[in-house]
Amino acid sequence: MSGCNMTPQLSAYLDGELPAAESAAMAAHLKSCGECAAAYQEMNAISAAMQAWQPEPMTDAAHRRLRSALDNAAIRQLRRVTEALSAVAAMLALVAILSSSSSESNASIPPIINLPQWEKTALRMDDSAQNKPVEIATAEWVVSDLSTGGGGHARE
Amino acid sequence: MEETDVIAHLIGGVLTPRRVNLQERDQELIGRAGRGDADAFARLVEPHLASLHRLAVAMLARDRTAEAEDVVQETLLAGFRGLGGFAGRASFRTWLVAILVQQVALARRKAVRWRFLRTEVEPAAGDDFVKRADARMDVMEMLTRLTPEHREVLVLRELEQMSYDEIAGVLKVPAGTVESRLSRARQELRKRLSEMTP
Repeated sequence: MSGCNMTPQLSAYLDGELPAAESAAMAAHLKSCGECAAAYQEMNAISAAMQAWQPEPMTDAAHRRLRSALDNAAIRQLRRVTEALSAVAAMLALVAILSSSSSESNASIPPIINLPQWEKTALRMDDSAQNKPVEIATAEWVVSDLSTGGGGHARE
Repeated sequence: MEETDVIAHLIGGVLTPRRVNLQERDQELIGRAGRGDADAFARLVEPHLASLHRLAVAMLARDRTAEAEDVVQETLLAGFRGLGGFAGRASFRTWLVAILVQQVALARRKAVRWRFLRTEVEPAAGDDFVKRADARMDVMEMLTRLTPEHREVLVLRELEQMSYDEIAGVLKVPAGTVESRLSRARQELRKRLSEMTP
């Protein structure tokens, strides 16, 4: 369509997107190149036609549909927020119930093993052994355990 | 219009100084719309509605408006849902245009049910190039003949008056690609119009 090697730059020149030096060179070129000058005029005309072009405006029905779609989207959005908040509230309530039930059951948990008296004494878990010298306490549990059959688990 | 902010605008990886006009009214409406207020969103987009519709019709390059109206609706719904993602780096309008371009691409992918109208154009009276280019149907016909890639850059440039950097940001292509596509699109249009010469 065109033999001039400057033609591809006409588009950027038309849009004011060429660097200043190239733009000045193109302006000078257009004065001497009839082919580019004609192409530039045509591009300008196309540009003007496009900028002046208007489609049929949106119909009133389309405006109403659009508004209705926005309202529906807002309702869905609100519903999602409400559902999310409800879910969080339900989860918090469940955690509170579980936590409360867990602390109640902790208070009544029986000892896992009923230790024999001698073990309690040895581990100094027995209050009566706390204030006695070790050797006396040990002698006492030996006597105590021997008198009750010894070595077995204490019956408490 | 009150210009409230001058910020760095990141488009297509290029940091470009850009003056962004965010009116107080718009900021308030954006805040309310972000909290799900459909009224606020409707007021926010109302000034841009006709332009978005014009862009959609031009990008679809069809002589029917129904699909363009659908595209505008989907654009605004996506904008309403995604308003939290609007960071104010670009103008609100550019943000909407970027969504519209995506919606046009989605609509194009549903091309199975599309039939591109290849109506023969009546040559306009006279042989004056400007008169021929001015005719409304000529513009639509010209756009229809372009590839979607060429059409979208031309439409963003001519109808939205976007700079090459802004177009590059919206289309997520380098600015050089925008320049070459525009040049080819215009060459193609000139060729088509010269073929119409009686």
